[in-house]
Amino acid sequence: MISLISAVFVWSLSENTRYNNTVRQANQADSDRSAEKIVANVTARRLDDSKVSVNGTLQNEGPLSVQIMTLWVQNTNKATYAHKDSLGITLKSGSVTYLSGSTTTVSLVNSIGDNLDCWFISGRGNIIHINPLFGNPTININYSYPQYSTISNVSMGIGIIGFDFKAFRHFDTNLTTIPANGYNLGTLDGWSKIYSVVQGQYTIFHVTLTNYDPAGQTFHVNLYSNIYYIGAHSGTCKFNYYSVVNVTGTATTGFKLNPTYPVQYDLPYETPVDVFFAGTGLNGGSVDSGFIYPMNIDVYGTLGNDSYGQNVPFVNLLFR
Amino acid sequence: MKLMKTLNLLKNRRGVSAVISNLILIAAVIAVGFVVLVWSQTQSSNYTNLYGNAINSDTNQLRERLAFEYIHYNSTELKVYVMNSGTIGNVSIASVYVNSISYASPSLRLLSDNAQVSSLNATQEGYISISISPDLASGINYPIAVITGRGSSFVATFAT
Repeated sequence: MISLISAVFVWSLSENTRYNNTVRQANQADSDRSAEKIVANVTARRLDDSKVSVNGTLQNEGPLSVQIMTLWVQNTNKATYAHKDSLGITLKSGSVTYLSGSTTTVSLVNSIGDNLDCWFISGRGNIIHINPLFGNPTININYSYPQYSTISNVSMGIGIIGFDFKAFRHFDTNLTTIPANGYNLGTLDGWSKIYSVVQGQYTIFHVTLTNYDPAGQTFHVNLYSNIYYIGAHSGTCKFNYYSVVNVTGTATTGFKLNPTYPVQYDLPYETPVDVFFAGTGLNGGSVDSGFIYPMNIDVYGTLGNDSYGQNVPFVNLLFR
Repeated sequence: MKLMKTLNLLKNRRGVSAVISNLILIAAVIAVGFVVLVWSQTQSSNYTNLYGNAINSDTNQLRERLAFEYIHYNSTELKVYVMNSGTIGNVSIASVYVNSISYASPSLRLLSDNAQVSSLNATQEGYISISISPDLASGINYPIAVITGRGSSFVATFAT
């Protein structure tokens, strides 16, 4: 009898413990859900009468990894909506992911002038609205201004190539001559984010470009592409450039510079591509240090079957 | 004569021996004890079953979460898109309350392939379709409550 009572007592304690554990886990899950913080710097824009694309970046500013499950897009004018499930995007704390292309394109009937709204659903059940820095959550599809990016189209008169200011990096080799092929540049984490370089030093620039051609054609970057800047020395203009160069590898596994290898950069539609430029920046003569000079990313190549060139402006560099 | 025989029988009656009487008492105690033990075991078994079921029910309910992804009303039909964001599967929809009107056993389909299902597993997304009657007024925020098969209630609002 005593053993029976003891067994029931111990079993009751274990059940209570199980209940308490479940309460704690449920509270932890709620706490985790509250701690999620995703900044969605995205815009929804029309591709054609039946397709809408959501482009931009998702940044996890919270302490936990977040899984992005579903994208919802609503046409508020037509009261229609569409979704894209099984996105399969996992964002570690602090990481950023780029959204573009078919991954975030939905079939949604729309017309010029319609207003679009979009949001994401996380695995923990949070609704992620777009960054209010972009203004009203309802986006007019004639405009698209993701943070840090110049996303433009032909109708806006800026061009089809977008440049990601936040992804701009450079690598200082501490060399004054061209390195040999296979020069190790390390992972992108080791590259400098500072908009300041040392003139005369062989420097490699990491530039992320995105092709927003309305026709969806791939842009092939030509050898003539470069980063061009106009500086001054003792009151005289100096024209210098950094040439497009061959870099192999990835941002996470590490890059290798191959200065004499052929250059091959293809920019598929709405896919961010890392393009590299390198040089000493002294081919037109030294410039006065301690000044900021405007840089132009000059890309030239073929878009579909036609040639295409564009000057991507607005980068300034301090020359030390 | 008969009466005399009976009186003699009573006068000549002898008691049972001490051993027999002890055996009888022990047997009685064992029998009663056994009955009490069986009764106790039955009671404790009932108790553990009831308590265990209650704990299971409560913990399962605690682990249920439904997230509202989108609610769309088109003057005849209400579609409620939900995701099972809890840590337990087999979340069924018992009823939906819209503007205090109950709609029992609504149709539940998966978001991925529109297949009709009876419940959602963890992280599965689905939608509930309800034919709303009477029609909802335009431009008003309405409350909606989804009641699961385990009795959890999840509340949201939507604008028509």
